Amino acid sequence: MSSDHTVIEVKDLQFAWPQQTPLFDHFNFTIQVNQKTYIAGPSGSGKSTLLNLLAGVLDAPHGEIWVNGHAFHQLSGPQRDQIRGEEMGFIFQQFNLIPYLSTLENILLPLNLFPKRKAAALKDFASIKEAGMYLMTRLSLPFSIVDQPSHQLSVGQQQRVAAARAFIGNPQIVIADEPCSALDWENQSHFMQLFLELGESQKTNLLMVSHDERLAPFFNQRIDLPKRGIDQ
Amino acid sequence: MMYWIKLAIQSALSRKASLLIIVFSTAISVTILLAAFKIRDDTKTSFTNAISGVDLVVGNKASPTELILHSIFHIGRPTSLVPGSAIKEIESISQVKWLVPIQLGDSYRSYPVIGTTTDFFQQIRAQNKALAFSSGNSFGGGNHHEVVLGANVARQFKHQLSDKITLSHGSGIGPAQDHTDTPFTIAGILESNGTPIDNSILISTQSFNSLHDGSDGKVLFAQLSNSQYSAFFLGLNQRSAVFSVRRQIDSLKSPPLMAVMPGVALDDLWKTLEVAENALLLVSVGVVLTSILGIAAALLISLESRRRELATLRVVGVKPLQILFSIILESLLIVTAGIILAWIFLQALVFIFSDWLMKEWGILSTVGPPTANDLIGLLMILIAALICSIIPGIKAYRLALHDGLNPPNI
Amino acid sequence: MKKLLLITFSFLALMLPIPPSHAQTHKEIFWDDLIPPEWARQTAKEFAKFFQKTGSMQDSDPRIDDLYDKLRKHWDAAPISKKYIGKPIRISGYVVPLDAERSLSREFLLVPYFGACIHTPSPPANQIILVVPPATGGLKVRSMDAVWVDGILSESRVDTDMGRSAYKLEAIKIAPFK
Repeated sequence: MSSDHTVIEVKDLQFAWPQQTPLFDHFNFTIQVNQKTYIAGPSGSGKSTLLNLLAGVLDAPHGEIWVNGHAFHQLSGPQRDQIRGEEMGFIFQQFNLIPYLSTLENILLPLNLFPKRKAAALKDFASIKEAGMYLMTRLSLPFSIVDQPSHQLSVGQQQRVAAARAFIGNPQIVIADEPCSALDWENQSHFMQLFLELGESQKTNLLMVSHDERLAPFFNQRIDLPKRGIDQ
Repeated sequence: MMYWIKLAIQSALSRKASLLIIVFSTAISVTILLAAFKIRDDTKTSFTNAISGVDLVVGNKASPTELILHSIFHIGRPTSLVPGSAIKEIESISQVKWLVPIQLGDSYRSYPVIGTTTDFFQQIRAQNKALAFSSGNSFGGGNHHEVVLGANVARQFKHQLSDKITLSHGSGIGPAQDHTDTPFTIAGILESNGTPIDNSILISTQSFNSLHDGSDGKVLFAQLSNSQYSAFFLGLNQRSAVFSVRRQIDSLKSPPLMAVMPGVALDDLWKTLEVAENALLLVSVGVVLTSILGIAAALLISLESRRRELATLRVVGVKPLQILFSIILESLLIVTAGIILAWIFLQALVFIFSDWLMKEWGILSTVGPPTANDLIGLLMILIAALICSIIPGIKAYRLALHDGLNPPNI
Repeated sequence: MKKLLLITFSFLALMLPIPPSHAQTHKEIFWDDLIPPEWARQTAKEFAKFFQKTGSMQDSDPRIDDLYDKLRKHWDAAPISKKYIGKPIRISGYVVPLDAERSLSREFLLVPYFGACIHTPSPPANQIILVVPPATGGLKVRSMDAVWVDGILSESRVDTDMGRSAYKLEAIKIAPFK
């Protein structure tokens, strides 16, 4: 069972890739609502696997994964995909965008694919375009790039467009996986600032996975991934 | 659903360089298939609308099919001619009710000229009705050089009664081929009857002979002997006596003749044509299948470089099954684009070749809406495309599942 | 070659007597029903005579040509039987199309055996029926198709010095033979 105060709960997770030592063995953690969580883990510690599990893309052979009150370990793949689309947003290190869609089309993608998320956006805005433009403003993206094909944007702009896409339609959870490592330090700080501000104003539960300890202080909860083969 | 179509279109457009080639190749193959259908349909129609009421066609011993094609459809060149002395021999057969001689060899602006008697208008029928004149009447006898035009000829060259025209020897191409010293006056214009007569010019046998007997001083077109005929059309007292009359004509010693039953000869021609047409269709189907497999292959190959795109879609919540469907959708869009292009190509082809088809083969081919056969064929093509696209679709499905949120770095 | 034709002739002549079947609304008749029995008997006798005469001849003997000719004239002059004239009948046979025009109202001849227009000698005059399809259009038939035809059998006379008559069938129904 999951309680009302937790947004993500992982119980007794066990996972191993074929012919490899287990990544997770009786792994547990809980993320409370309205938290900004920093997940630390060096390379090879299984953070992409964990993200895939939390996103519902991977099946955990043993253990419980509760996301936003949904029992992921009991749902089918397509059901988890639906929840991910409606209630979660993701930002990755690079290559977040669909190259043949424009900036705005990329941002609005979740709204065009999931009616529930579209409805959530339309609660606050008259049209989905307005919702998209608002986020562009919040993320310091100039309107001139609205219709530009996304492959023509700079890396910094692309990351912020990805952030806009993650936050549009008020998802409950936004997960970022090393979102800044492709940026220089100045852009990194700028990005982090926008990221945290947006999360604050939309009351989103933020999760960030990173190996850069300089970013850890920005968050108020920390989870360390287990070292390979050792219980937590 | 509409948004998926928009996504598929934009995705395809981003790869338009290679896809354009595929669309083009699909278009060409579908054009071939549609053309094969059209040739079959148009040939069928053209040969269905022949003349009727003729029980036997008599000519020199040669190929029965050639005799029918030449005397009725005016296709092909005359091989050998029958002397006029045969007429009495044939008419002496008791079961023969009427005989209409046919002379071919001249033309008017690429349309065939037929030398015949006024009996032609009494005895020859079209679509079970007697031939009718829209204006004027039959040519007169004697030395008047009068002509009757078929409906299409009159309409194409905007001729009216009493106009004067000049005929040409042979197909009319080349210098000094015209019978310029003998202009013909239009005495009558026939109503359209859907048979090859619509495209004919009819003159009397006397006129035809005088053009070729050197009497005008032009030795060029003279023939060694007078009054020669390409064929005779016969009508019998009893249609069921056709076997008997045919046998009697076949056994005439001098001149050696052959009597052909037009219905039977055409049906035989038809069987041969069908074999050819079916072969053509089979090849066309093969060509189309090749193109469709090409589409599947192109999509399959493109998947490797699209793994990031697919992973991004997965991140946003798209299900693997939806990715499979979008690949199938893309395939259908490509084929549809090919089909539309093919239709345009076909109309262009018909426009360019319809004249030649008419003159050389007597086949009427017009620009027009797709037939039921066409639509069924196109539907089958779409279904085939759908089935073939399942291969790249499943590959995309598997890749999406396997890669999850993190595709390999390409 | 001519001898072979003679043999074929006689074989066909011997095929003439075949038992009839039971009646329906359109009475099903067989081809031998269309032959006056007297002519059948006479023809059989003529054949016997011809075989006697030609038995000893060579294939290239010019007398065979004459005999062949006589035989054909005899067959061409075969009289019709009045037995079923004016009656609704049903008969099966092979199609020999007449007109070049390929329409559904195309008249055709119905004959008893396959290939009557090509290699085998054509049937006697009382084994050929001129079929006129119904006004609403008949079945799409092609040369040598096997069909059933239902209709009223009639006699078509022509005012010639020969005074010959032939069979005509105004068809009500034409169906493929199965």
